[in-house]
Amino acid sequence: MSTIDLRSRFTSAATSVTVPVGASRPSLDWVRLVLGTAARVVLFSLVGLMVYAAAPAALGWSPSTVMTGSMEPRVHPGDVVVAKPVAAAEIHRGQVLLFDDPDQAGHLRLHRYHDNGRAGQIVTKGDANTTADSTPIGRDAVIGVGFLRVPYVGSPFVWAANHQYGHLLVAGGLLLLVVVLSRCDRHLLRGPGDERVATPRATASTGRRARRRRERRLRRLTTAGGALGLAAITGALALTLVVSGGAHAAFASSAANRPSSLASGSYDCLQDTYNAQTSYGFSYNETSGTTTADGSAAARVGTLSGGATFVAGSCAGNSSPYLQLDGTGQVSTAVNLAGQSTFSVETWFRTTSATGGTLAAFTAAQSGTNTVTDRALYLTTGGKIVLGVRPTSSTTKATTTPGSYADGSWHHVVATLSGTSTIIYVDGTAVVTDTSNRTVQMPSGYWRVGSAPLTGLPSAPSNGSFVGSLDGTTIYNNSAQTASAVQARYAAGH
Amino acid sequence: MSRPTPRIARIAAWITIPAALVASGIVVSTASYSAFSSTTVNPTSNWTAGTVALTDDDSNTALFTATNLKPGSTGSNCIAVTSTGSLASAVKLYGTNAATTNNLASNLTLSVVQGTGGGFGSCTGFTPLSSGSSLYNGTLANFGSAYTNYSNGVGTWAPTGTASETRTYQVTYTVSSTAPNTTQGGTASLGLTWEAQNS
Repeated sequence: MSTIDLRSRFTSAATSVTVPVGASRPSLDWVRLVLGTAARVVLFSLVGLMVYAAAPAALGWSPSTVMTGSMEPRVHPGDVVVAKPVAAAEIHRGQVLLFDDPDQAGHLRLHRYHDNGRAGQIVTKGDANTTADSTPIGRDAVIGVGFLRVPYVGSPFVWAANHQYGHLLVAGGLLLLVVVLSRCDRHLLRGPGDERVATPRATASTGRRARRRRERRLRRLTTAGGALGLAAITGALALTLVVSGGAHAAFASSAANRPSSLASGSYDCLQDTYNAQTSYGFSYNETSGTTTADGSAAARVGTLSGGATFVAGSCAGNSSPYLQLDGTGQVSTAVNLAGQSTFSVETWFRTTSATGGTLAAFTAAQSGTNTVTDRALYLTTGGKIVLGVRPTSSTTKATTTPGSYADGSWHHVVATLSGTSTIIYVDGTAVVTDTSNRTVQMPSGYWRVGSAPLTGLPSAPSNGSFVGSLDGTTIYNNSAQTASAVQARYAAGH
Repeated sequence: MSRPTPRIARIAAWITIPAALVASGIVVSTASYSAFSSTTVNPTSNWTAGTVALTDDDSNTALFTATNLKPGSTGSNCIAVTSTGSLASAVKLYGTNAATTNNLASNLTLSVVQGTGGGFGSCTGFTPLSSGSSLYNGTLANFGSAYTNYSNGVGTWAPTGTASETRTYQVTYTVSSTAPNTTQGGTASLGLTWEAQNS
């Protein structure tokens, strides 16, 4: 500041006036004016950008700061994207959507609607990812469609989240510089007339000084007020952006192994082994059809008819597949055998029926009821097991177990007839030995399972057909099995 | 040249507001148009701020191709998955292309164990993690229906991104001893996918 002595015509006293030194360098003033105006444009533009970014929140739109770069090159980290809520019907492929991140609870994701998923779901994809997001989203997870993009205005939040404090400091410093520059031409608002206080009276009276001080104070207050107001608005806008949160446009990368394929063959563990005296060995391991394989060396076949169905089972202990009969079914064989004087009949059975029925029998005809049954293993209505035979064409003989076995549990039964006696073994143990039952006539005939005409045989039920489950039905046409063989068969399970 | 008058100064002071509004409006509308007007974008590889990247050592070969399986049949393979990304991420494992005939998949058990050592084709040297090594032990069918994408995938591996990290996964299948005879001649297929997302 330079002091100029003025000689007023009213007084001889000198009056001091302070005049800004710039009065002598107007080019500098113009530079300051231009700089200040430019700085103010930058400052207010920044505020304007923040208004565009945060104000739509008042409309219910959703601004969010993009935190990662998987939507490059069109959306950068630091951009603020304002998503406009739209009706579900107006969301379509190609739009950039803001939605609840399905992979990270509580986060938002900004990706593009890439394709339709199953059941109305949306498959999304980040533009910079090579593959679509693996988790599809429901339409109700969409918060809005990207509508406004305010570039880089959210960068401070991204820098803070990534701990890039250097960036924050530099940006803060630049902002401060712009603020300072915007005030550098403030003095130009006050013209020379404001500063000059040359009055007729030489000495500045207290009133005028006080007035000057009041003017100065008022000016400072308005300036401070204006700055505070601006800061408050900017702060509120920034707070809105912080509260709206960041959208993670998630990066994803995957390593996929091609689908493995496993194929099962046939399970030989299901096969039962049958000894050399076996005429028929039926394990009932089929899953469907009307024939069942014979496991004996003769490898014959049994034919299902009527209500006879296969039930699935596994190789695990006592869980093998079996045959279910409903009282109208049977398994017949097609080989005519000569009846022998010793034989054995074996099967596993399970029933709760009170109608009894044939387990296995040797009849003159392959099937049907119009035939004679020469020897049969059957259950009485009370659930007792009987081996009934015809020693002659006009006589019958039967051996019955003392106990009943129609209790819903699996039981193993082997009935043997030799020249000495009839023995019935249940669950590996002989429960009845009958020395009076040891002869049988020897016609030729066919073995059948599950159904036979039992008329005339002692304690026979009226309905010769069995209701229940059968497994491992084995016929030894010419052998009375030993007790130890029976034990081993029982121990092997079904 | 005269100095700027106060009037010019005042104009200069206040013209900035509408000028700024116009300028910011132009910036926002241009940015919005360029970001949201196009509906498809070709993927670019110039990622700016770090990446997530996952690879495996399977040379595009499936972990298992087995036939003629019976109850008790079993097989095991390992696969080494490597993360080379520079961002911290979380890796999840899930199944794709799950399919089965004759219900075989419900009678196959699958076990996935994470650890180190070994690699695709040989589990020699594989050591399970000291804790939390078992990621899954159940039927193949259940894995294929329960773990289908990143959000419901299994896994606890969280590469930090500071350096390349490798983890090996040992995958074992077994045909259940209780597989019923109805599963004979059946098939089961499943693809395993490891995915990393930045956390």
